[in-house]
Amino acid sequence: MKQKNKANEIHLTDSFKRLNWLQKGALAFFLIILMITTFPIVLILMIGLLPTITVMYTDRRNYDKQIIIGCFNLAGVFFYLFRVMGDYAAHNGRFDIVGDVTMLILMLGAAALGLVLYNELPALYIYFARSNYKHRIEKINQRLEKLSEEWGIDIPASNNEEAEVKNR
Amino acid sequence: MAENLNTEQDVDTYTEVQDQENAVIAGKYLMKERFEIDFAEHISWLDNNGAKAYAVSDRIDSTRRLFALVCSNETSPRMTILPYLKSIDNPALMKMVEYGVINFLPEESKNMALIYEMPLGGKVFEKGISNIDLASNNEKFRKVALSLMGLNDAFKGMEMTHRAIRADNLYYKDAERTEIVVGDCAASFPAYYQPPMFEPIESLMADRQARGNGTFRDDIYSIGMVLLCLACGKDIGRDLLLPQVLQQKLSKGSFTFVCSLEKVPTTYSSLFKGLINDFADARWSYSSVFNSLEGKPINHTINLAPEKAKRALNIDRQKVYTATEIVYTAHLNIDAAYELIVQGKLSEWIKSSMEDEKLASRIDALAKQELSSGGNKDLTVARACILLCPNMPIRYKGITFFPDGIAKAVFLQMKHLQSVDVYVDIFGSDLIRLWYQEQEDLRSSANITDFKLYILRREIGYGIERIIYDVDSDIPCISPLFGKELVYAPQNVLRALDSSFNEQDISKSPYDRHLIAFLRCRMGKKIDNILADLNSSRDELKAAAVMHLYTNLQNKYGPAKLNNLTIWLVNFLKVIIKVYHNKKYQKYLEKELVKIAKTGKLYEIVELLENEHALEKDRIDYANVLNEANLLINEKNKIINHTDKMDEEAKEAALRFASVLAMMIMTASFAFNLISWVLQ
Repeated sequence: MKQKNKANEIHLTDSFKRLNWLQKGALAFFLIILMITTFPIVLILMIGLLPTITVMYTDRRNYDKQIIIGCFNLAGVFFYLFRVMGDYAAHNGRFDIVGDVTMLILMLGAAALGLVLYNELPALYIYFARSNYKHRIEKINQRLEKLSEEWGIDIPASNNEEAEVKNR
Repeated sequence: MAENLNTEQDVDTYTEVQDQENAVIAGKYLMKERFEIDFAEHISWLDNNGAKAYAVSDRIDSTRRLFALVCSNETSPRMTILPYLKSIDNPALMKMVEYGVINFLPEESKNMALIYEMPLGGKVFEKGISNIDLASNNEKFRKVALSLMGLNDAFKGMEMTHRAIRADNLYYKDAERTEIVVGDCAASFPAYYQPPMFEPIESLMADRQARGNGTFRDDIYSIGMVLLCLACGKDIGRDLLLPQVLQQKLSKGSFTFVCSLEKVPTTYSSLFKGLINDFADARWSYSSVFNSLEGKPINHTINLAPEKAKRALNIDRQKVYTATEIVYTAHLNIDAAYELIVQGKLSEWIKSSMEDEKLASRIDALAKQELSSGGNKDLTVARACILLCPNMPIRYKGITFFPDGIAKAVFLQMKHLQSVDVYVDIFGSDLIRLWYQEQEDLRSSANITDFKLYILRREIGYGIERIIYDVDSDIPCISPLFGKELVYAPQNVLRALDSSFNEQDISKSPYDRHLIAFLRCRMGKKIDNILADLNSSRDELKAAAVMHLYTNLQNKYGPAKLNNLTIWLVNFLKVIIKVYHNKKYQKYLEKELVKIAKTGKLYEIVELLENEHALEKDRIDYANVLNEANLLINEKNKIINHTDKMDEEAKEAALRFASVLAMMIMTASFAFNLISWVLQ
């Protein structure tokens, strides 16, 4: 399973190594130009997507976590990003918006919501699933008991296993 | 349905008959709607063969003087000869008018009653003394002798024996005392109550319950003794005990012994010699008696006793001279006799003294066989005795019997709850077969070879019980289940079980080894399939077999209502209810059975319990239920055993959902902000 995951990983450094020096230089030049021209946006993205970048760095193979936190993070960032894009056009690149605490809370809070969802939703699901199994076992036991009463069949005892289920 | 209707009608008819038979009126029992037996009027002087005599009035012909002999259940009446006795109308035999099973009120039991014409002149011998003088009345003596011999011929013609011809069983038929008749012979076992003086040696050597039916020659001997008593005017040797009489008869011969007790009239000396001859084959027939009484010459000579050998054989320091004496002494000294046999001394004596080479070689062969196999002294001596004296009874481990009397001996033994192990050994050996092989004019029953098989098979319907009911049709079924009821035929079985209900523990089975063996013998092979089921290890099969057996009996013989037996069966048949799986249906069946128990009709139980449609439905439903239960159990086990995996699945589902939700929120946010941006 691990080998398969490794095979599916995107090795950017390898791709980058395959480029020749001219291509690498052109790409670096292009990026520098892009960063300089869209500096406020890049800055917002770097600050706003900090939780996602952190998760991508710390839990590289946990794609579910990356997707959930990343998507929520992006949902928060989009509010700021489009506002910045509007302000950028109107105020010719004002950076004061970076100091807006509300927007920071929105971006980072959305990522935090994603993290909470990632951590708590499975537990909630398991809780409901278990209660569903328990209910089903009770139903089965009731039916078996009824069959036993009506037909006198011997039902194999599985009390210990049932107890295990209850204790979990 | 029509079949059921017929069955019900048949059963109802039987009920009517039974109700009529059971008429008990003020201490009297009405037998066959005609003969009123008055138990308050006991006629003690007519008591005979263990049976008690009571006055009887005939409702149709009130002038007729009758009495009833109520047989004791201690032994059993001779059932097989009763129809013949009823049909015989012989001037020398007390006329039997009717017979049947009655409610014997004094003992509150069912007994066989034999109704006879009353002998109006009383008994011929009162306290051992005759009240007729025949010695001086030749004509009367001649008439009595010929009538008795005629009676013997009549019995012989019907292949029957009387075996109760003795002095105290003679009566005057009429009040004028002109005709003498012989009394009852059927109330008990043959010769069971015969005094030793009236029985020939071989019969005396047998246990009295195992004397068997004997032959007409035994009756001739008894007639000879009766005539002798009549001629002498007294019941000779009345007080002598059996061992003494036997010893004397063996050593002196019967006639000489009698002569030593009483002065025999010389006129009839040759007649008595001919009749009480110890050589059974040489006993006189009717024609010889007739010729003798007519004064005509008798062609053959009379050998009174076996010729004695010149040299004696010593058995345990006792000197014996004849084969009969050897047998008698050997029976009393088994160890000594065994030594003589295996050492070859007996065969040597036979060669030298009896000059019978063939017999000596057979005894030698027996001794060799015994030496090679080694073991059973009693069996070896019994075999040797059969070879030596085939007309004598078989003796084995203290039991002396004629093969046709052994069933009655076992019957008594079982009745007294005593061990029958020795009898089991006897039936398991070849003694009876060997005895029949040595007889010249007797044939064994066809199934004698099956005895060993019956003994070896311990299943119900076999064993010693099967043998006794098979070889002897006289004995009733002695199953303890019948209590004080008397069962001679399958017709009485259900009635007896129903009547004895209160004495029984209904938690026990309503059948036993005796009952089934009895029914197998009386009903034949048609119940072999029932036997197979009864010997099954499955309780429900046994119960079903009994249910079918009894239902068939009720359908065939009645009575229509068997309320007590039905309760018993309902209790017993609960195992069949358990064949049905559905508990509700089981409860329904139990309720229905309780209702049927009130009707007392067994076929309704069969119809209820063996409903094919209900059985099939139950079977199919049960199969479906099992299938469903298995599926449920599998599902339950799956849930219980795979919780971790299912948790993992739930977790994955949660993450998938969260991912989708996150993407949707991101898309929504993107779309919302894009639209806001564009609109700005």
